[in-house]
Amino acid sequence: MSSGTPLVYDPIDMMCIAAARELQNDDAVLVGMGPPLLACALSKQIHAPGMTYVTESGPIDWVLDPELQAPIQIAEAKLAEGASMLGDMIDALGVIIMGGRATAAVLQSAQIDRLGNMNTMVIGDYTKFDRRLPGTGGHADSGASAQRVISTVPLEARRFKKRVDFRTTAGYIDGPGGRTNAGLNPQGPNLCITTACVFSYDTPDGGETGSCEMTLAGLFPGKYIEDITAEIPWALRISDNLREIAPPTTEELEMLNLLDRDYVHRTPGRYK
Amino acid sequence: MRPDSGGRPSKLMSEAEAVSRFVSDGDTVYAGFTHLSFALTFEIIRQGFKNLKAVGASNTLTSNFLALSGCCNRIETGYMGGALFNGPIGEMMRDGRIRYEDYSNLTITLRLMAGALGMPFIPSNSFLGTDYLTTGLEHEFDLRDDRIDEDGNTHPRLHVIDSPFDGKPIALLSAIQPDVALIHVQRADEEGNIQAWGPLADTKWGVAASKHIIATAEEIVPTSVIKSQPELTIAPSFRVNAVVHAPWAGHPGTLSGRLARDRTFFDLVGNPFTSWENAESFMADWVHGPKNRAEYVAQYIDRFGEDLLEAQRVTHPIYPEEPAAQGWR
Repeated sequence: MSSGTPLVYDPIDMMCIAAARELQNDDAVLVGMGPPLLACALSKQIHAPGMTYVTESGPIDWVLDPELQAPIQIAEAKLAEGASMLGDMIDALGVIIMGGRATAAVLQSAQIDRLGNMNTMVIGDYTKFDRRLPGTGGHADSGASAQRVISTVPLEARRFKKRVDFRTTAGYIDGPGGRTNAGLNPQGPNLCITTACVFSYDTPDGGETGSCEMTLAGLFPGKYIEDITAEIPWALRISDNLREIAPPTTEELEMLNLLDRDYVHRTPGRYK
Repeated sequence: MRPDSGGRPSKLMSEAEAVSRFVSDGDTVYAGFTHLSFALTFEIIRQGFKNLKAVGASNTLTSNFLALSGCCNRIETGYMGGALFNGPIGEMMRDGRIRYEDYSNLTITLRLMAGALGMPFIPSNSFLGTDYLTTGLEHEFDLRDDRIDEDGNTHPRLHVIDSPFDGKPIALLSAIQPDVALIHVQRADEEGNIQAWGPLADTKWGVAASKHIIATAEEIVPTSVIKSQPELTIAPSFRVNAVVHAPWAGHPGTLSGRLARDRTFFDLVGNPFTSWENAESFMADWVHGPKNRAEYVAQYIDRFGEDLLEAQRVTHPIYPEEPAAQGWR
């Protein structure tokens, strides 16, 4: 692509790219399915080659195949190729996650609330549901114990709820001190990355003080505050240091499209 | 040649014999996350078992087939894979034909680990601060009937205590000891040593926790081969009840070093999890049609050709660059 051509990309592309930028070379990251897996793969290819992937089925510190096609599922035999350690769920979700050794988890959620609590279980009532989702997988485990959580949630009003339909995964629970009272460690800085913006949380110490509320911290190119507040059913906090997120670079976008050439990770319900 | 122990009877048998001898109505069945045995699953459906309970960290294709066929009406898992398709599995969860208790991948694995170790419970922080402790704890389709003991007391699903060591809240999860584990492994010997590798997820713990273990194997090897890499054995022969030689028993799933996941199969035959019509046609054609895995493979070749089947075989296995030798002299 020549340097003068404007890049064409979808909001979900920017969500993956913005999430990828939040991961560092020294991170050990629990990777969830879908856009998180794509974001982590992108991060490793672009700026964080030393990042350690942790996949709940057991492959730890794996690398992408030579064709650079991101794996689709977390139990794929393909993940063993290039892994530095091939363990099991106790090694990955037990020792690294519950043991508190994962520096981050990147997790896709169906719904999220103002305190970062997440739902992957069900839409509607728990048993008389509108739509039953598969459930938590390693989501709840990761939300309980990873040192920070980056959630990816498309910015749609139906996903941002005053109260999620089922709280699968603890964020800051009921506010300051909520995690500690429940028996969990403080956690953060947590982020929620959407298809239009980046949210941080109003807490300087991972949930001990501050309001712990979702706070608009960054806008994607071409987005305005009103675009965001229109989708959020509560009075949204806005950071004093609201920044504009840089658009994708050519390198990021080309790599993203290579990693997900079949558009599997960016299309809901495409998993087989 | 490494010495055999000798004196052990062969545990090789057909899938029909293995299932009829070691599965019973009402059993709790471990059908896991990796190393799925479609051959054993389909045989259970053919023999028409009832009232099974499926457990596993993630409820993947095999346990979903047990539910779809009506053999299984109870599920404890961290991931209801069948709900992805918004079809029959979701419908049965909504109307109570499937009763269920939701966990997570780690908590089910921990419960199996407790079962394997013979301990009554295991602590975990996974559900602290979540609706697993409220809405999800008791509901109209839960499995409380399974938690009634001989004295008529109903035990809780889980129990939050203040840890006697640091005073912080912690959840205690009950152990699971499945009646039977179903597994497909890369290789086994006749006496019942089973070797499995690749991503293992909860598999080792599901097998270790189970009272009976029945395995299909891609390959039956001499015991000397088993003993040349004993670190690959996930259950020693005395723990294993039956071994079935059934190449492709993991199809259409994946098995490290042997089988690639067949991503075209459900497109070709109609995904059974998307509609009852597809489910019935799949059951008639691919479960009740062939009477064992060899016939299933023959039917696949007959319909779609040997080339397509062979395309599902792993062609680039990973071999160690410097094999780690063991030895003492």
